[in-house]
Amino acid sequence: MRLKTISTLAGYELRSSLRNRWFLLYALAFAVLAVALSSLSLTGAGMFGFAGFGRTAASLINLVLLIVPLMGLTIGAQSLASEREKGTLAYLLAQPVSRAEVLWGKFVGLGTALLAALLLGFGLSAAVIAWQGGVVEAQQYISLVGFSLLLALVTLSLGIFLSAWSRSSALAVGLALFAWLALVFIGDLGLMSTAVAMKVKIQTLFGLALINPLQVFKIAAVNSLRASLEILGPAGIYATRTYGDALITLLVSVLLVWVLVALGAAYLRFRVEADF
Amino acid sequence: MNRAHFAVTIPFIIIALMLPKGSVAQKGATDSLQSLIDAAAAGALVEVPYGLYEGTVTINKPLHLTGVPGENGQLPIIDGKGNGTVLTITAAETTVEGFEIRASGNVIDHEDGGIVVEQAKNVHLTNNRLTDVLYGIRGVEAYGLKVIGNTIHGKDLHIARRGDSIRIWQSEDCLVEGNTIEKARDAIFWFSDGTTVRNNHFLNSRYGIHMMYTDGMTIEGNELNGNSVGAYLMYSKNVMIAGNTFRENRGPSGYGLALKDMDGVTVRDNYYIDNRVGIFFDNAPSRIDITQSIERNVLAFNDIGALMMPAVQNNILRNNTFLDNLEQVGLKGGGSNPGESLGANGWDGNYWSDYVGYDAGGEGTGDIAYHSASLFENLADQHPALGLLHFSPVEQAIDLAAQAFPIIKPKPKLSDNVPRMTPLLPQTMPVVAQPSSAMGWLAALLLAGAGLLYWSQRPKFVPDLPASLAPHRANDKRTSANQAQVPSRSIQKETAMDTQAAVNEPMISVQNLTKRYAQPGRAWWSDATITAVDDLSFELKEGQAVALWGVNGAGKTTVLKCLLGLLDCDGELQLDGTDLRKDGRNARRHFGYVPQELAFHNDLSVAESCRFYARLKDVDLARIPIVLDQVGLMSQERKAVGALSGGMKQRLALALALLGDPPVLLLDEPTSNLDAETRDEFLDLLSQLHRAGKTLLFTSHHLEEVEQLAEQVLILRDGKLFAKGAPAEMMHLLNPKREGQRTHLRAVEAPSDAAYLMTVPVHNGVITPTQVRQNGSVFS
Amino acid sequence: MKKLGTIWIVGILLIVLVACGGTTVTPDLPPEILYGEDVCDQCNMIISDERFAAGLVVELAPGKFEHRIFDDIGDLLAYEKAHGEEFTIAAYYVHDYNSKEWIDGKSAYYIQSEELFTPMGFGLAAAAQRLEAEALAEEWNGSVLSFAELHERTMAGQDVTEHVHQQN
Repeated sequence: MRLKTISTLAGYELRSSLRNRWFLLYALAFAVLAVALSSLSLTGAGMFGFAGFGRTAASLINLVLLIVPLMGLTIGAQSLASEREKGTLAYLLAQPVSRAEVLWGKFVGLGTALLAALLLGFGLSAAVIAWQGGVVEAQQYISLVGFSLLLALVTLSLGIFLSAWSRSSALAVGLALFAWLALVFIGDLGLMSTAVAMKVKIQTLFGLALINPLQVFKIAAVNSLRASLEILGPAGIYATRTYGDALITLLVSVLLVWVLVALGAAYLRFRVEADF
Repeated sequence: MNRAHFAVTIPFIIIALMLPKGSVAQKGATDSLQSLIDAAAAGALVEVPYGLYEGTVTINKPLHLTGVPGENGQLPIIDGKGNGTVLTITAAETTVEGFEIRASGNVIDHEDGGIVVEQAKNVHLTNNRLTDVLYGIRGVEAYGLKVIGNTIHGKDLHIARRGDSIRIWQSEDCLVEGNTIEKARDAIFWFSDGTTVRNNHFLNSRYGIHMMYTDGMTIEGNELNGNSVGAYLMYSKNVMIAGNTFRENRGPSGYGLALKDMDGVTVRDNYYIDNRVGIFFDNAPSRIDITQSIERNVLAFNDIGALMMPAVQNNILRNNTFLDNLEQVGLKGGGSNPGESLGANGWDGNYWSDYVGYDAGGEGTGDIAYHSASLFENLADQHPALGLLHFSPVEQAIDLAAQAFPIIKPKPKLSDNVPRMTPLLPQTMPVVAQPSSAMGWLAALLLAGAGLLYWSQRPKFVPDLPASLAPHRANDKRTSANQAQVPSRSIQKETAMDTQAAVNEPMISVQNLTKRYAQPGRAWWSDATITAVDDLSFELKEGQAVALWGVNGAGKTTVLKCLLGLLDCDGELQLDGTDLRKDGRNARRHFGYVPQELAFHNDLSVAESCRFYARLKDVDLARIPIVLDQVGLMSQERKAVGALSGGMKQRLALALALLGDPPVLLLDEPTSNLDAETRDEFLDLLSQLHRAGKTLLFTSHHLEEVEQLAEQVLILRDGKLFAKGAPAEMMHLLNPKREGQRTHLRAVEAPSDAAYLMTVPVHNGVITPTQVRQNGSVFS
Repeated sequence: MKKLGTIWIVGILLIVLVACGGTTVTPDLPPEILYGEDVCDQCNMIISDERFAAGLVVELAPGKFEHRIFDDIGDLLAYEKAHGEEFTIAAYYVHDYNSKEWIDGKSAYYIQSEELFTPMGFGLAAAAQRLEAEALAEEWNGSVLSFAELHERTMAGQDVTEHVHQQN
């Protein structure tokens, strides 16, 4: 693999992302909501000055859980599928580039656009918190940002995976939206009904939660904000007890594995794709 | 008294003078301390100079034992050396002040500890420091015991193995004030009515205060931070809890204040911050004829503000501030009817941070009632494991659904009919937030990170100023550039290779090429295929121009795509004797490809496209003006690719194919996008390139192209090689009349041409033979 | 039909994964207590001292067993008194004071003493051997009871906590 090729492809992806209406809309929505939530939630906490988890972190976690996967999945899903549909992908692959380079180029370019957009949103929100005299600690905020970026890469990889396996752009985006719904709501509803109806053990419940990268992000974010997971009830206490300090390593590994598996699966398909 | 005082002090002063400065070791000092105590008269004041004394020591007569600090304020040390209890007091009216007491034994069955007061009234323990002790201070039947200003650090053991920091048992009217306690199990007050615990710090222990059967106790002004439970109060009456701060009491139990079977308590002016549960009520009050008052407390940022067991009733909560607790009020176990259970207590007149009412009259209370009704909270109360889903969007989704569908809408679990509009904060105010400069720096860092990230991957193919000037430089070379551009690589090859042998080596060799596609519309589990190219073999020599001839669907394009690695296929494909598919990426470096369907990134300009592909092909940017000039696109450099006409795009495609100066050009219907005039021009250009030594493999069904360019024609039918030979030899096969039976297959493809051919008489002299063939070829 | 084969294999693997279950509670299995973490089912307090910790195996429905854990033997009895009608008790477990091992509660000997400081103040400890129980009782000026005696006394008597309160 040649870095120059990857960076050229990534540069194109970055450039077209910044011209993509949907991407810009998501990025703008994220920045505005992050700033608004920080500002609103601090009006109470800042006034009283209690060091607490409070609304800021909780609302930011919620925001990330809703918007970041939507961004990652949809722009990832559009990546290969729309180029395939336009025919540009076939022409690109007729050049002296390897398919791995094309995939990495997509991942790096879109990832850069995504991370830059998130950093912008988080940066503006941090500025508001600093200005209003918030009680959010910088170190905790950094971990929240870090995990959010990781989640963005996970969902981007999943989007690229869907893109590699879909014949049309519409199908890919449709699948991405379904995947978003599944990750954000359906998976958790399943988890809820499992807990309520089947009365599974808490370790099973925790294990099931780890399948969903959104839950993994949330658990990781809560864990670094709180230094323990007991706020998440018995399953959280179980996890803190069982894994202790290794928990963060475990969660980050799970997210990284998601990235690698999704990209790997995308590559497996893309490598042998023969419909050009 | 005074004389006794002197008598006792003088020998000690002498001992102290003999001690090396700062020394700690003084063998036999313990014996001296114990023997001194034994020697002192009852009620004497014993001043003990700084030094190390070995325990264990027993005081069995009333004494006032005072430690005289060393030069730097160090306290005299009584060291238990890890055996038993360091100091035992069995005499009433005794004072022990200003000692460091350390290293008790470790046996929990014996309750080894720092100080034990047994059956002795009015003992004062003041300003001592207890470290590395299993138990701290134990009072058994120590009525009127006063523990003031001590610090107690437990042994560094797992919380289940620690002893109690303070245990006052069967001792009435005790006072515990201004002590700091850390890393212990509990501070226990059992069967000790009338005890006061004031202004202490209980930190990082199991239960900050653990009280049972102690009526009339007062707990005020304490800080209870980082314990499993701040204060657990049980089985007692008439207890006052005021002005305390319960903060970060977390863990599996995790209550700030827990009341179990407590009757007649007053809980006011306390802060409960960031506990798992702020206040926990379990059968409190236990008597149905008692109401209890919970007033002016601030419950903020707890997981659950107030938690009640289902049968709890008669607690009147007023003027409390419920601020941003994840769950403001919870019912443990959920119960069948949370509203009824919690409704047995009074909730009117509190501040609720999640209240969304208004106060039109300005009387300070909301005009509509506050209702706490959340389906998710109810579910989580019933199934604590659901806490795992806290902060997930599903939490709000469920509550939203509950609002939308009345059938699952829960009844409010509590209502406040006169909710306060503003929080009420007691005088004592915990930590005030400062504008955070760290967050400011972080904000800058994150924004810079965003910029840096963009900069690191910025598109590098966007022409900068010098590059856009490049055409002018190129103009100087225009003449030479126009002169047929003998491709350098070919030149080298031609000069380097002497002759026949090398020329006879095939440049491209295709053996037994077979390509099967998945059958369109096959079921997803099926493996059914159709064969596009069937066992095709041919060779191209360097500098040769070969045409692939056939109807659409004959497999011409498939052959090119197989060579480019765009399709997965069987057979052997070789370029210069090496397997094409082994390193397709490098093989493609030798191919210039002009596709039939011209799909470029429409948002790039011509110049940007060239730079983009030049970077991919790893070609010097100086090639760009040369190839643009060659295809006559120089003037269109700044135009967006999307705005180019079909002919222009075709030229761009050729320019891009020529960027890397490849020895082989693969052209898929190279002139199909062109009108007649440009077609000639374009064919001339291709002929020039061919003459300059390029190897050409192109698909076509235009006789003109074949005649003008090809040295050999391969005729494909249904993916098989039907015939091959020089164009002249093949004319009978290429002739539209011979191929007439296939006409109907093609008519749909090019109706205009077909119509033209049919309407224009051949003999009217307007149509040249070439044109006839050309038009006729559409039917091939 | 390569694809069909793959689909079968994946399907079977999924079923195997789903079918995998965990361990179940049986009457001959004493509860596991995480000291310093788990809380007592009767008083909600953290169980820290294994010497006095106790446990029940209750049968909620035929063949469906669950554990209950307590920080004090007295709390076990109080729990049985309060909730005994909700289940049948399949096994009692207490700790031998000296060895700190789980022993069968029904065949154990109990020492009751006012001098014994237990987590909820019931002053109850257990021993597997009668001789050991008698030695401990002598040390603490207490008395030795069989399970039947202790059980009968508790179930017949007043509220257990009330009993202790008066006792002291």
